[in-house]
Amino acid sequence: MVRTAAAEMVGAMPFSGVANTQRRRWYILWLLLPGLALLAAITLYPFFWLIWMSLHEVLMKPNTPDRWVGLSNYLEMFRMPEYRRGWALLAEYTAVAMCLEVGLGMLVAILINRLKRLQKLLTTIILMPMMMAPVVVGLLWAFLYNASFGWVYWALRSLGILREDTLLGNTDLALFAIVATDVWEWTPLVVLIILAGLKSVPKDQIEAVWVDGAGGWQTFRRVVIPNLKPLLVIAILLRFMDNVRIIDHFIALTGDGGPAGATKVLPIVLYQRAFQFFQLGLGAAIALTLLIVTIIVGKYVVKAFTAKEVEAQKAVLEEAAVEGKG
Amino acid sequence: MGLIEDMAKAQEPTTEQEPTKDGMTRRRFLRNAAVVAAGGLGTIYLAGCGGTTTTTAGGGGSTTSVTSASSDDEKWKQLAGKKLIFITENTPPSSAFKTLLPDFTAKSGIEVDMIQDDDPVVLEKVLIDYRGESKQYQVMYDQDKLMGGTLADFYLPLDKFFTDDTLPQAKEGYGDDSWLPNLLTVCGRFFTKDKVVGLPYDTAIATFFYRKDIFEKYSAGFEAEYGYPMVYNSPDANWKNILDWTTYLKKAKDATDPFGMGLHAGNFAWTVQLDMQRLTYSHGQWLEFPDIDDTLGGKKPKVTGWGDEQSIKSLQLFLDIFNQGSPDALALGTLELSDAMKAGKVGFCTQYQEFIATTEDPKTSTVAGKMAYDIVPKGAKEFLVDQSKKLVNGSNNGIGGISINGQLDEDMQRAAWIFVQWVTSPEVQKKAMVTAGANPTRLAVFEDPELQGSAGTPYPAGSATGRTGGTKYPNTMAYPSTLPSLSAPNIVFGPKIPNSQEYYTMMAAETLSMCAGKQTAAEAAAKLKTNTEAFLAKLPG
Repeated sequence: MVRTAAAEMVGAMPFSGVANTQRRRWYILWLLLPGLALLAAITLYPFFWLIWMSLHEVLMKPNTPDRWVGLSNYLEMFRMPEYRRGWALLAEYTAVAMCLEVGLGMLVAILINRLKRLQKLLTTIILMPMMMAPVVVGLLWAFLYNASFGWVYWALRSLGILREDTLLGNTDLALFAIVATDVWEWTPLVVLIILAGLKSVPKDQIEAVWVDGAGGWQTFRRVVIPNLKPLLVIAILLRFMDNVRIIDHFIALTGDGGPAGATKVLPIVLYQRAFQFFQLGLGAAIALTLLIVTIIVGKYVVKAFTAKEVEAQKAVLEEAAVEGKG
Repeated sequence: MGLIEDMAKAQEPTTEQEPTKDGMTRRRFLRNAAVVAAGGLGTIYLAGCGGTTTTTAGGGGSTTSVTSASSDDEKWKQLAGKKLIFITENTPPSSAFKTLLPDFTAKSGIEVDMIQDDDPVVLEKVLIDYRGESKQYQVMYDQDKLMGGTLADFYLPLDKFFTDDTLPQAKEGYGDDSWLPNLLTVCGRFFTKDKVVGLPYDTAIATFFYRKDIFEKYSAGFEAEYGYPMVYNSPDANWKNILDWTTYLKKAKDATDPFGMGLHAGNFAWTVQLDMQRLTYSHGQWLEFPDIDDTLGGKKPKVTGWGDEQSIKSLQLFLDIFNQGSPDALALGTLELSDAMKAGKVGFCTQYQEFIATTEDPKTSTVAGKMAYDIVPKGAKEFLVDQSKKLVNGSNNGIGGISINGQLDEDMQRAAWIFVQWVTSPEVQKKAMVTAGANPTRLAVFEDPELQGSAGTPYPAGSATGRTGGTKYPNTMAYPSTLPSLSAPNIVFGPKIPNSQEYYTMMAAETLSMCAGKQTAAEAAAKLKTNTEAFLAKLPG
């Protein structure tokens, strides 16, 4: 095939005059290789080592070879009551935290978007919690919840919500105390994402539905929400992935599992097994199941939010194909 | 063409480079550098060989040239310039020693960086360091039960240093009789008597802390209801009294007064186990692992006492006290309990004597001057199953040893030893005691007349072991109860077992689950039996 100058330019960097030849592509690949090798070393190598450890008994004595145990670590993991309970607590924590963060985040973003003045200042102030390191936030809230000098404790006691006990010493409330901490820190991230989405909702679509006589709620439901969907997927995915591997707040607020294990979510179980009991093989097995579930649920979330768009795109492409043939 | 040929020739490698304009070629430079290096090494070698005949320091592995005839100053400074990292727990004794580190550096020229953290984190970091052989920590805290059982094989045997006269040594030596009773074995000998791997560095002895003002305030009302006064009459004050006082205070106290007994029921699993152990040992000297040596420990216990009738009765007692105590108990680990005591939320508790100094400090405590300290409670016959067995003032402790990384080279071992023998010397222990909240492990410090004479005022009047405040050295108020607490029949030192952290976590989980109302005492005892047997089965050996 004769490659014309125009064909050479297909895929070329704009305005660079650099042709997209095979040689050029190999050249770019060679340039990327060191970076890719480094990335593989710090991601792929530990990942495969994790799988290796999950199938072996890993001893702490130096120069001791790992002992092959097959699926024993996984069997032991599934038999552990704290593994099952860890999942249940993690699911409860994640569901409550995400509902609150997305709901509150949306509400706050809408309110900020409607402001005519002070929008930027308010946005900056609202974003401040998420600039702090999670463990610092945990320690801050540990002080706020403290029964001797904590403001939150004092406020809850004054309102009669708490009696003599504290949130962190109560087996029913400790988990929700940590949810509140997470919501305080990470709702601003959802606000930021949704606010960006609200700014980019096409005004002509809003005007069109207004002309048709739609009210505020209908406009929100039919125009704003569909435009926000891609960003909602991002917000939900980001928060889900963070919440499912959360450990900072838990350790800062309730240590290794809270009052009678009330906050012993799966990452805490993993940390304990791997780094306190030094059962590295078992810890690796737990970590892998956590990863697999995160990937599966993440894919499901993306699918659920984008199913209609994919169908619509397919319909458009099919229509275009039919018109093209015609 | 000619130009191209010239250019090509210029690119061709030559067998010998043209000298640069200052006469130096690459080859010449490398040759000169090698000569200089060889000359330097030769000079060092000759300097080392000439002049001094030495009892070679460290048996030939050390690079120092100090001898047995060297002066004290030379022995101290033989490894000046070295840097040590000492990882230890974040409690008052270590904080006290930290203030004295500049003295050590001035004396030895060795810089010491002290890192303090929670005990489980110290264990984690040291074990990772051990596995990776990175030798990041040269000196480490060796908590007898929590760490020693797991790390004993990692520590350097210290016996070889005891009689090495090329190193500075404590004049009291390091034999068992130079320390408080049993301490050297507990924190320095693990599973065998053949070697010592740690020296006693601090000791947190269980002491009964109580609000004497609260006892005085409520004594009359209590006596009217229960028929005996609310007075801590040691050594016979017992666990039944504790339950009665706690129950009474819960219903009769004013809103601003504290609850009764504070238990270690928070996140630190090991102190939950210690708290429970004091109660169980008080009743018939009941042991969790009755088949292993209590001071040396055992690598593979075979049986557990959990599940028997005595364990159920003891768990029930613990639960009854818990239910009458602070509703916040499940949030109170050891440090939090100390804070709660200082904030006036807890009326009495068994706490470690190292916390006396901060409890008596008016800058950090609202109860300074209101406290009294005594030996821990005795068992009560109401809770003893086999009445032929003894009721004792069941006491335990965390004996903190200080150990050296066994993977170090000779020079670093010696530098670490210089620090270890310094920080455990009587002079330094006394200084730390005086300046901050340290606890001596040396008998010479404990028996120091100035400290013995500073142990507060007997309380109640005439008490042999109870003391109350007004002393320059607050921690000494626990002195009168220290020796009986550390001696038979009261003391329980174990269990020193491998993977102890896993055992404590399991034990605390079941006990606190019981406290949270999720299971009865009998169910907790049964689960403890099953889980402990499963734990023992997994131990190697």
